[in-house]
Amino acid sequence: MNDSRRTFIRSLGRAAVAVALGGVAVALGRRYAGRRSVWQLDPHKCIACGRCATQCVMAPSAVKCVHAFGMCGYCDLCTGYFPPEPPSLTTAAENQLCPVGAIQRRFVEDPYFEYTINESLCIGCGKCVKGCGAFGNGSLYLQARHDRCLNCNECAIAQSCPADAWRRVPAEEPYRVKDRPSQDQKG
Amino acid sequence: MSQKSRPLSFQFPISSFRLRFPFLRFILLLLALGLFAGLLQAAERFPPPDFSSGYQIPAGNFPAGVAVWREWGDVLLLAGALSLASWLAIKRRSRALILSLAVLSLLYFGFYRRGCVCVIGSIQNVAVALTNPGVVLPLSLLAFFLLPLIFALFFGRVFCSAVCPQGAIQEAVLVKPVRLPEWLARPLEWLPFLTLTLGILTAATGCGFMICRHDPFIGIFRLGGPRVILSIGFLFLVLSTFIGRPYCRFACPYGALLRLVSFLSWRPVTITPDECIRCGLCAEACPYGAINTPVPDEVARDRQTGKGTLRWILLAFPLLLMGGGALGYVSGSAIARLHPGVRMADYEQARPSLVSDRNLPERLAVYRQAGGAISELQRQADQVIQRVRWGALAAGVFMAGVIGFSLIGTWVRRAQPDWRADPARCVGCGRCFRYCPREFRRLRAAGSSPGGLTT
Repeated sequence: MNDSRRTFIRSLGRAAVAVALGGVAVALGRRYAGRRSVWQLDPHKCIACGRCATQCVMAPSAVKCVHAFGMCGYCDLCTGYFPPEPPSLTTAAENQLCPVGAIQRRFVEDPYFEYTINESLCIGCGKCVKGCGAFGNGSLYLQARHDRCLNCNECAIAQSCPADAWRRVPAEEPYRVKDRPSQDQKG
Repeated sequence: MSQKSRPLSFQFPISSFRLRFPFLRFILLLLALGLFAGLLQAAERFPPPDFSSGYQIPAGNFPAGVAVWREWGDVLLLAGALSLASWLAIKRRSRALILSLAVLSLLYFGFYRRGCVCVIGSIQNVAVALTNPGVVLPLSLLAFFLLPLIFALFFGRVFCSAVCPQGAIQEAVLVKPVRLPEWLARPLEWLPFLTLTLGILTAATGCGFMICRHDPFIGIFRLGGPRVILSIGFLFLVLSTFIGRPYCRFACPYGALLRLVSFLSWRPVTITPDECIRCGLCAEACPYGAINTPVPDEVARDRQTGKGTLRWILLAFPLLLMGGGALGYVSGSAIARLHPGVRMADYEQARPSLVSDRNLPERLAVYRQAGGAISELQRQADQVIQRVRWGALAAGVFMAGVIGFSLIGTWVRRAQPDWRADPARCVGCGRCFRYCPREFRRLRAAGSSPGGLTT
């Protein structure tokens, strides 16, 4: 008698848990069907503080510099490539702002130079981004590269980002491609 | 005009580079543009050149994101591993195979997937999605949250036994099990409920994913990470060599959920499907204290006379709940300091900080630069604090309830003639199988070797 009552109560409990789990599944599943998201940073909010290089759980970081060639001025004196007051405007190591020499400078035609990011070297420190944004067109910008990004539950960079630039974006459009100058570079 | 000419007035020493004719023309163009600075919004400082050499502007290179099939592949793997673990623990009953599956899961979900995607962490995503209607929750993540619970409803904690990488890494290093006394183990078992409620509370109120941030094994899976987390991970590993699964039993928030569900499970893992001969050898083998001692009929009846005591406990129960709620409400404002917005407001008001955050000055500078008002910051911070306080009140009541029921559980004992695995505590490691003489004989008769790994 006692035993069958307990069995009955346990079955009731099981049913209650099943209903609760089903409720969660239906409530959330219906609302979010088919929508996936990944982490990405908004280049217009980014202040190139350098934390992307150090905070990412990946080493080197999943964040790398991207070049919007369409925005680039192809300057000879590129402030993303050269530090302030470079000894000379050549590709010698002492003239380069990039700590790992990941930017390739190639002569196109007088007086224009093309700058390409060697992604295998880039560590996502954003030094070039800062230089280009401060005095140039802002065509260099940082993006989480989705061939490297683990898409962590809570992005470690996003936690420490002082500019609050990180958001989850739809997985179908995983990049925030920059095609216009940022607000603070306007006018 | 001032801003337009800034790139040039920044000035490298003019002698350090040769001005070429197009460059001069460029300066003139810039000066002219500068006159229209007020009219022209967002003009480039250096307009993209018109190339005469036929140079083609390269297109950007953007590697594809995570493929959909991979996400669902993980869900299929999880479901497959859970089914296999259930079969191994309940039908096949082989400790060696259970441990092998656990090691495979550790290699895939732990080291290969680097601990992300993770069933334990999915609690937070579900909590966020349930409390914030606008949040996107991938269906695969929902499946990760639900599948182990559904299996627990049927077969107990088979997820812990051979699928969870965090469980597997502890199981694999347990070489010299020491049994913790009940008076110590039981209060420690309240802690997972605390991490569960705090994890849900902090995630739902935007204070961050504390479960992920404090996962001790994530640093080991990724072979690197913050030094504090790595040291906690190694501490847990060292503890795991003699205390069975300290994280699973005394910290894991998902373990708390599984306990609640497994308690009701339909067909949990048993020591033997045969008759118990009451030798008690199984309890010697269990490092998790998950095998309940038989309670003779007389003792049970004796306990029944203790109903008076139980009545007092039940009277004290509302007081316990109220105390828990009050404690939660009071600690709410401290918990709210995990929220970066609240910390920013604190910093602005020069209030002493409970949580150190080196990013605050820069965060505030950017906030101000974007035109954010400090009064708005304070208002939002107050809102967060209020939300966390009420959430913490609920969490406190829940915790008091857990502790209360756990204490009542020590008083109420029903008659139970056999040694029995406690479905809430049993993680289905399979150690007891070959220790049980009946099971040993049964397995040998069935043609499978009950031997194998000894620990």
